[in-house]
Amino acid sequence: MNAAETRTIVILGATSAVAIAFARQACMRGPARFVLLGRDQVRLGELLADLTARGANPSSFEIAADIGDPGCVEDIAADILARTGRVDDVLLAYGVLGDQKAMQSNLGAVRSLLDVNLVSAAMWCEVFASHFEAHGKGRLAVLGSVAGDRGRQSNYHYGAGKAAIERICEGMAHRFGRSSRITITVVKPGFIDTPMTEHIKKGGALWATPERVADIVHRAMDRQRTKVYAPWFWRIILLAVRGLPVPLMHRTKL
Amino acid sequence: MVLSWGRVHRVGQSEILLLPGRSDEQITAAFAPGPTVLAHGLGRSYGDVALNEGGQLALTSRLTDFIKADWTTGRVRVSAGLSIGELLRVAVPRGWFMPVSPGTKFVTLGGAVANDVHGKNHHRAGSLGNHVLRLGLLRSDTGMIECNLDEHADLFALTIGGLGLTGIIRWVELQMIPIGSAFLDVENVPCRHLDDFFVESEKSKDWDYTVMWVDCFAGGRTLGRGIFSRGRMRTDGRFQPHAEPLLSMPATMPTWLLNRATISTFNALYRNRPGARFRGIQHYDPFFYPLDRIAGWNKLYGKRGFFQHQCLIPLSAGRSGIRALLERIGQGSQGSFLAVLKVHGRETSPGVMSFCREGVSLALDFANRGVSTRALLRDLDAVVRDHGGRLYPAKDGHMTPAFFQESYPDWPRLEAARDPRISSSFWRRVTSAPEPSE
Repeated sequence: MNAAETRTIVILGATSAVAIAFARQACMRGPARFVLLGRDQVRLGELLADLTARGANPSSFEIAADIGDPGCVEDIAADILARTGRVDDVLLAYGVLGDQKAMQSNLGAVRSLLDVNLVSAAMWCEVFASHFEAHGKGRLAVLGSVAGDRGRQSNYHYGAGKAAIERICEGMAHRFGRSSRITITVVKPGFIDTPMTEHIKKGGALWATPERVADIVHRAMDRQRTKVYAPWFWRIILLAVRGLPVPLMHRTKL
Repeated sequence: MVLSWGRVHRVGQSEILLLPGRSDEQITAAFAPGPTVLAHGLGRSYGDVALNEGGQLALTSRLTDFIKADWTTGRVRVSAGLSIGELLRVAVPRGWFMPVSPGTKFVTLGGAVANDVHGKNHHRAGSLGNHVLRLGLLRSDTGMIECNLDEHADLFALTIGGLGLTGIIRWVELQMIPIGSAFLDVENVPCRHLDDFFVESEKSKDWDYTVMWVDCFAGGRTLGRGIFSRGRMRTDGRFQPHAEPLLSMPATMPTWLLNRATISTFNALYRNRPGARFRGIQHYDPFFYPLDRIAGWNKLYGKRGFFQHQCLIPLSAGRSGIRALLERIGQGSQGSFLAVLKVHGRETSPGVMSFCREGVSLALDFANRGVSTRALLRDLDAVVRDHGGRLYPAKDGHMTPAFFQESYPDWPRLEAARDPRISSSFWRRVTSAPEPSE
């Protein structure tokens, strides 16, 4: 990476804790111009000011929109590309956890969860993949989840969305497998201490800070990894979870 | 459970994790009639200033936004939950540094203002309040209010060192100082006794940063023996910020490990280590924040935690006061690893309730052994009181209401300016009616 060159970094779901940490770390790593996307206009404005103070290029801008709505993706993407010309890095960091229990009796909620976590996400990935392909260069990182590794009663719609987006990225990585200048990376965090998990009791070694996860995303992108657990030990935990025989799995409340 | 750094006070209180973008509503909701509120940052104060038994704690550590920064003038406005460490990480590469910094970078700017912290450059720069340009407070009665030396000047002066009681500090605007390097020229000079310390302090007045580590078990002719350390910023243009902590304390240590023998051994090793006569170049991180290298070092003091005792004695009584304190510690079996002496300059901070003023300060820490430790602290308090000194609220967990009210005679002004919906364990303790026997 040429340190003197200003990178244009698009962050989808910029108000999420990992995305904020990612953007702040990017400011420390070199010249950066941001396009911040999210729903909360006020918060996006605050973040833009924060990143500017931390050294982000003053031509950074925010777009407040419902980026999880598949109907919006094409227009917003066209707007971003028109205003920036070129995008170097994209981080897809938005998503909703959803209420598994409620979804079991509310089909509309299933649909909207998958619209946000899967359909719109797949469209964003495709838009930027094409952009990278046209320019022969670019890096996409997507926040997946360990929940996508095996269907579990507690959150299978959420997990399915994350599993599917991971599969899509895997395919894209294959598509660009011969290019060392286009990288597609999925980072799969376990528990992160963020507002999304505010209602859950925290503490213990399994919980990672958003800063740590963001740092793993940066490193994974720099090393052109296609799939990374964050932190690494989830790989072992999930190996065990995936390997658990069905009769045993069905006795658990995982 | 939220503990303060001393881990002695274990109190029941509810916690609200303030979230970026929602914190105004969260604070407003907490202000609704019911238990009182208190802002709590990174929990580095030692006693009960940042605790609120039976009340609510509004945790600010997630509120880490820069609001604006002008790197040509060094003026920055940051959310109160931002830590000095994170501020430095951004500011140092641009050639700016904290005008005043305490012994750890893991404190929030809000907490630093509320306690009007000081550092090794007090003799030249005063305490932090001296460098605060403007503050934003959220109060239950007036809503958002901004203050500085001209606007709401009273509120400004009462908020600096106001222990978080005048409103929830939302942001701090600060004048940083320009530096020519992230490195310092440092000289460590062994001192044989207390007189050496005063001589070195006088000789080092034109050094930006001075402090002395004291061997609290040295008595008789060696009373006040220690290592005097002074530093000044270099101008070599190397602006690298600090790295993450290297080690962390995995668990609490058994308290019995800290006794006269082990502390004497530590002190002897510390005094004779190669660095004790070090003269050379040091990065700001080990120079200002040596303990930050071990995350959670407070667990060294075991499950029952520890007390800090930091006093400031006016210059005229400084020598005899410090001597009397060291003599009292020498009599007991409980030593202090981190005994730190410093001559303070004239106080220039506008803070009405600020701890600092011209004099000599001594900071000590003692593992909590219950009754005997409290007796020692009471004796030390008596010495401080006899010499016209006072204690630092950020480190205190034991002083009596009578002593506090006598040594901080302006406390009724802070009580009058206190947000009626804000309170703390410390404040209720020290403002309660003094007992007749005191």
